Amino acid sequence: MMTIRAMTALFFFTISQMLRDAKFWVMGIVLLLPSVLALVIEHFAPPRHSLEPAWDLYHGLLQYMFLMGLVPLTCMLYGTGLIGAETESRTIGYLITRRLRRSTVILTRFVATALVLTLLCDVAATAIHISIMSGVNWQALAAHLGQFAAWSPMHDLTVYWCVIALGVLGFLAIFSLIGLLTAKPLALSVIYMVVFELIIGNVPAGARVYTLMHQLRVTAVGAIPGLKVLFALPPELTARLFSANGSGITQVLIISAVALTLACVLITVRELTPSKVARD
Amino acid sequence: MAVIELTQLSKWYGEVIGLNNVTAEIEHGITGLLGPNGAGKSTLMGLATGQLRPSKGGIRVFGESPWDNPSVISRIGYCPEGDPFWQKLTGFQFVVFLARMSGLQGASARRAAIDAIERTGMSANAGRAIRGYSKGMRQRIKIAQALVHSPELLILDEPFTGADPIARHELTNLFRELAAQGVHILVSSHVLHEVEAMTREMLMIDHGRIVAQGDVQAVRKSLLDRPHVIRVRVDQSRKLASQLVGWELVSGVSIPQPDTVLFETKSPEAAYERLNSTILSDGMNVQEIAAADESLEAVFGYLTHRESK
Repeated sequence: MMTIRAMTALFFFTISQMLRDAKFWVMGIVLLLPSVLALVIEHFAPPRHSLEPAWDLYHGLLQYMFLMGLVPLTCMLYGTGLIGAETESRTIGYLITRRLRRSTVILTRFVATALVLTLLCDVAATAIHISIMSGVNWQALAAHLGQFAAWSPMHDLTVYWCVIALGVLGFLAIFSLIGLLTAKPLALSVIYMVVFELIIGNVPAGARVYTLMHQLRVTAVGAIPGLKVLFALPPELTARLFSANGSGITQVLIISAVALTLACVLITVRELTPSKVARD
Repeated sequence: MAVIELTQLSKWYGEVIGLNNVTAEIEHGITGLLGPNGAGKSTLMGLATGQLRPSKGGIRVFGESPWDNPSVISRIGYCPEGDPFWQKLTGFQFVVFLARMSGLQGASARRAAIDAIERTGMSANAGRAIRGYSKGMRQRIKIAQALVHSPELLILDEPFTGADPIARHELTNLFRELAAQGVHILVSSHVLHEVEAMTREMLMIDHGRIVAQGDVQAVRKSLLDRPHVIRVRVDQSRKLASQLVGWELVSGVSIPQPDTVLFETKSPEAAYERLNSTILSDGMNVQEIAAADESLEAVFGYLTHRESK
């Protein structure tokens, strides 16, 4: 019972810590940039006779700018500091000399952070949705819907909410682990992001199945009809990469669980001392 | 059973030795952990609170290893050295949060925090953000968080640093009071006099090794012939220096900086006592009273030298 009380205290403390920090509000503004961009594009776009430009902009922004860029970036900034920030400020001593095991400390902070970041990213995704949809005149386009007649932006937004939650879970787990591996986690995180997620995750090689980027894309493609067109790949490659009704949920959950388990092991065996410390 | 048992305990950081093959038992009551800067005091405290792992040998607190062991560390109240704070919190929020982290529930956590804050004399400032606290206030609020869950063992790393003479006196009384209630206390300092005001039991370490252990009077006897240099940072340095010159127990006085007086004495205890009353009666504004490091290093050098003989 006392452990649960301590976990609850840490959970809410982590959330309040995030909300008090200027970094959170800066990230909030950065995450709203795609929706501002969408508004600008919609404002200056010539009158449209098809839904296609809106569909392209919607999924282009959410896939390329948001899921492949801003969500991992946000998770990188928070995941690497999940324990590292407390270690550097030496406040970690207060957290690990109380009622909780070290692994419980990191898991509780992880859950609180993941929850806040998911909400933040989902709100930003909703802002993109509203920005684009506010510029679409459905009545005027009713006669020209063509292949987009069945497009349900609200359904797609719901899918993106879930994919974003999955992305936050996976990326936050990976970056939390990196945060415990090295004293300079941001450098290693950028290398991981560029080499593994952005390069390997985008080449048609077998290793891409181990990347979060690929699995998130597979999940989105499996749940949003016609989305595979967005990636403009040759048909045989598209068929190989995105099987019908495929989903990467299980793979993302496995990757997250492995990363979190390793993080729990590391925090249990490693001393948490700041990178520059006076030894007395 | 000893409260803390160290068995051939060593801790090193790369090539730097923090503790070197230390075997000792820390018994009930108050124990002073004395040593100059870099002696290994914080390392020993880090090991006792489960923040550091022994490189070799073992440490047991209440008969168990403290590393990642909440059943042991939840019985400890730890006051760290330095300034580790969530600066935006108020003192009250800080202590309440750590009370909750110790398993106390809403109202009882608040009650315990109010009580701990009151005991450390911080009630008037508890509603202010920690970032605006003076050094002395920070020390007091750190002690309050260490007390909040009524621990059986208090581990206090340099709790008097930055505290003015009145605060030192109050905190000393608080620690004595807690010890009388059955709380075991391990308190570190690099000032012999501070620890001596609380306890006769002492563990003196230098360069990661125990150089003396046991009754302070026995250790002190061997130090009688050594002069102690005391540094006072005060606004009326000349006035204080002119008074010190007239004291029999003072063998030398200097003003190395406009706000600093250094004086030498072979009776530091009596000198501290007289100094406090002089400062209070003359209304001087004191920023710091401390044993000058050089002198203390010399004391430990002396002990180390004696040990090696």
